[in-house]
Amino acid sequence: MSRLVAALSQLMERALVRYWKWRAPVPTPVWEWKTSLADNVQQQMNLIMPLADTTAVGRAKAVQMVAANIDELFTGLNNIGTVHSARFDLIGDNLCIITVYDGDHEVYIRDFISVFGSVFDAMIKVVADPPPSPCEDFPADFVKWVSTHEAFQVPGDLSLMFPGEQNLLNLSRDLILLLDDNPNVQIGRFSGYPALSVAQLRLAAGIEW
Amino acid sequence: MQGQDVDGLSGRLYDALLLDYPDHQEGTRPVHTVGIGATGYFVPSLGAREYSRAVQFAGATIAVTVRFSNGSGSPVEHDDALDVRGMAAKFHLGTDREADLIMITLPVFFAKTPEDFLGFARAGVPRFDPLPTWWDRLVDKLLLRPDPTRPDPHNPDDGSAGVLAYANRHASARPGTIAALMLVTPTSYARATYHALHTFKATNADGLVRYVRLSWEPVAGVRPIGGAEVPEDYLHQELGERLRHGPARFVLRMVVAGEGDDVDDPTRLWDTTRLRVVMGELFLTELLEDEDACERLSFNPTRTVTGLECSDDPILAARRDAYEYSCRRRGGTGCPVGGGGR
Amino acid sequence: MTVTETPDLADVQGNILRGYHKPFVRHLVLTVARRELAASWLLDATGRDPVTTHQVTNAEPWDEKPPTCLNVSVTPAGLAALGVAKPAIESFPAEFVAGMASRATKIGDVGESAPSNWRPEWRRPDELHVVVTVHADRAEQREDVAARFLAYRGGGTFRELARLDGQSFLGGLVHFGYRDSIAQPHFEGIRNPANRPDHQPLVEVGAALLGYPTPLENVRFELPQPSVLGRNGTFNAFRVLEQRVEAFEDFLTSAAETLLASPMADEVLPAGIEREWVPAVSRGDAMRELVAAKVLGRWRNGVPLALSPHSPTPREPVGEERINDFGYQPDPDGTRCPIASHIRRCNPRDARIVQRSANHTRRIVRRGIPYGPPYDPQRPDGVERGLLGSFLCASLAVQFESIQYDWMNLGLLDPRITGSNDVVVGNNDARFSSFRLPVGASAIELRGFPRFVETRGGAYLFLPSLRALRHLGEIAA
Repeated sequence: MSRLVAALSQLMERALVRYWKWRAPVPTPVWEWKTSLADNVQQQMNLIMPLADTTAVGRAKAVQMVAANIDELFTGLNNIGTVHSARFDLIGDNLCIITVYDGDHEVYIRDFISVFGSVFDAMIKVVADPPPSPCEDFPADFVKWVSTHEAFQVPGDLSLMFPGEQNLLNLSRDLILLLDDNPNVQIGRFSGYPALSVAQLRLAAGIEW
Repeated sequence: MQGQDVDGLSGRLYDALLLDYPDHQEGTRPVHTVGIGATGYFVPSLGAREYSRAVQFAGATIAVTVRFSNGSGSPVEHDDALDVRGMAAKFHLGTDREADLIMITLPVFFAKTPEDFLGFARAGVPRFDPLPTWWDRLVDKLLLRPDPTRPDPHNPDDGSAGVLAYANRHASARPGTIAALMLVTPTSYARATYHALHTFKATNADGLVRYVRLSWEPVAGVRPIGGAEVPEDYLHQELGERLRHGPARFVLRMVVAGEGDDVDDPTRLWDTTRLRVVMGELFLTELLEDEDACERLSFNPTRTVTGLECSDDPILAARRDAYEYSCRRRGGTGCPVGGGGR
Repeated sequence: MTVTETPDLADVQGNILRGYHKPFVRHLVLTVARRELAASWLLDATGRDPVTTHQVTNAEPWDEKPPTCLNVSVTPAGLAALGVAKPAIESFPAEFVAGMASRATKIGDVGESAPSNWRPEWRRPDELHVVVTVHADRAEQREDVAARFLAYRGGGTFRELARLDGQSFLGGLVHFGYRDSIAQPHFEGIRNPANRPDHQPLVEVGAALLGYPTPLENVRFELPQPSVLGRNGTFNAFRVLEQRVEAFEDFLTSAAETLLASPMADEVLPAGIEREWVPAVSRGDAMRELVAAKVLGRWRNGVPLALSPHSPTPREPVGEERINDFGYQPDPDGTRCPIASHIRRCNPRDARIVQRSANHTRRIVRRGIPYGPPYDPQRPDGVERGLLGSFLCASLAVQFESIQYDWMNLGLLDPRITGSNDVVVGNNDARFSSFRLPVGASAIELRGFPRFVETRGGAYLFLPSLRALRHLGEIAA
């Protein structure tokens, strides 16, 4: 019985979301640059790429493709110089690249293209809605495509997320509508050493950069 | 830093706060009336002096007295009611010198200027708000609003409705109000995080100035009571119990501002991406048994020493005189900030 | 169609691959008022009427230098005003279409430099269509060419939103007192008349022009479509940069005092060396000049610190031939030319940088000319003065914006300066600013300086090729 209630409840929620999206829509906040160093190092990118072939065979292909190119990936990541971490995960039916880096988002993606563009071309082949290929010939398109496949990042200061909202009690509804548009979300992130770049940490730890 | 009792501002602030607590008792603090004291010591971290040449961080262990409190100005103890908690720490620096750090369980303040705070305090006047009925809850669901946490069933007369209406109209009150809406009741005074709210200027021995904010982070972690039913003085009882078993520990964390941060605006949250320094650890070992002494203690957020000083935050400036005014009215010890401590 | 990798210089606008170096410049900021007349002008100026219409100057080498030159650039709104279809405009790079004002925070145009404080003509992107630039040997020639252009077909072709005049000083100095524009990229396959050795690899022409291999290996920037519109074109981050000379000179004085009071003063500037300078100066003045040199990377006369760290007039003179012939490999810690210095930040040459693959991928062409009267310290006048700067590159995002964002500001290229902004043009707040001056094995941090260059306006402009201009003329008609 409680399962039925839960299901009905969810149905009502879906209908309500649809209604409120029409009645009081909430645009996804545009990502804004910031000028302070602390906000420009340790930026995060969570790239979620749905697989074209979601069978075990397709997933194995994705795993093999990353493994086969691991040298190229690591060499490239080393030489970009600003990468704190990069993880390649298969989560659900998605190939994900979850990375922390310093500096500008677009510079980072373009550096990817120039140091391991061929790996990306291989990766694109297993993805369901690939960007134009090869990415070296369409770098700007690739940048746009990456932006549309990244998880939305909830800003640190929640109170600034919906500055146009007149009634604080509606903030949670605004959040609900936002999440309807953005199925993939980075809710929060903790850093053990904020405001430091990769090179600063390496220098301080004596392992050179 | 100059005191600014412009137009009797301190008096007006004091009176405005009293409006929010109609059962306030003369001779007690206008807010944070109910409190409990504890003593212990602070051990600065080795690197702290890199950031501040204040005596507290020079290296020696410093004796500390702390007063925990509930935010309410009512003399009736309601530990179980949703409320801001306070932790006021007094560093005893020897020969009549003291430094105070006053913190509460909110990360930002409600107002940018003293006038704004007056408006806010007046808006928080309690009025009776009935508890939500099943119809109210249904309407909330249709409006995709969260389950209401206010009015607090333990304290239905709190002024939160007025505060919400005020915050809707005043953008600068928003961050503080949202933070207040997310307040929880802790299981212990030693299991909550406290923030000093205002920006201070940390100067090191080389004269390098950094703009910083400070917080006490409980080593035992933050723990809300959830839905549990507790007696009205449970926080007092719990602290005594806890200290009997061992010290309550807090880490003093300092966050350093960068460009683009508004260092004079206590309503603006600083992003967690800011540089974070561990300045030391506090060990509270004993309850302050003399309750009278505890109530007569006077803290002032501007009682600082060279090396850790106030910024130009206008609220901080107003608090200096407001605290002194309150102290005089209730006969507390150590009233004038500059000359003479405990 | 096969693309030859060396551009046809007759098709490329001038002042991109090689500078005109003319002393009088006027930028006319314009709205297209009568589209069909603008179309006609475009065709007349690109070969149809060489007799009465001043032609758009191309990049062909001159046998005889013409006294005046004229060039034209457009904004996305300008392309639309001339009848370019929306999909074609949107095939241009996103940052160009969005406009310089929308990238303000990324490139450091905040606070006083924020677009909301810009001069009015730069705050109306829908009206800012075309910028026509006149370069002349003499002021009256500039006047004449500009007037005749505006009077085309009786006037009314374009509406003038503003005119910005620039004028060179003797010796190519800018208001801060430095000799400017010494270093420029040497392009592969392009003859460079200055031809000074510069210790750097030749730059792929695709760094400056669309349609060619770029310095990013294997990467080609997308050509806006149709390709006739994009090929051989380039982008200009045009900026009106106010220079706060008095504040800068005050900074030199106070920084010099700090250095002189430091126990490391003699290591910074050997005692007595100022007496060998030509002309000799007092130690105080010498230290000021040293600060000016350290924050830029060259002495104010252009001699690079990399070749002469203690004197602008070294005993073994650094002549014109050698003035740009240096790298930073012999100076890894910046004790000669600080890592935080302006020229080392915006072009690290062969220095070790964090972004190892990026040493040569952000080269840009700089064309600039002072505006406003020369500054006289004896008679401070409060008049606005500065630089009309053109920063030319094939990809604004990859080249210009990246330099501004994480080299000029932030200093990501080296961990020892990360967190600090360039002294000369950086987005500095006196509470947080710092400049790291390496001295021997340690360093002195100069602090507390404000921002010296404020942006008063600007726009991302596209300089179409001659063929593209003709194409625009045809579709606008």
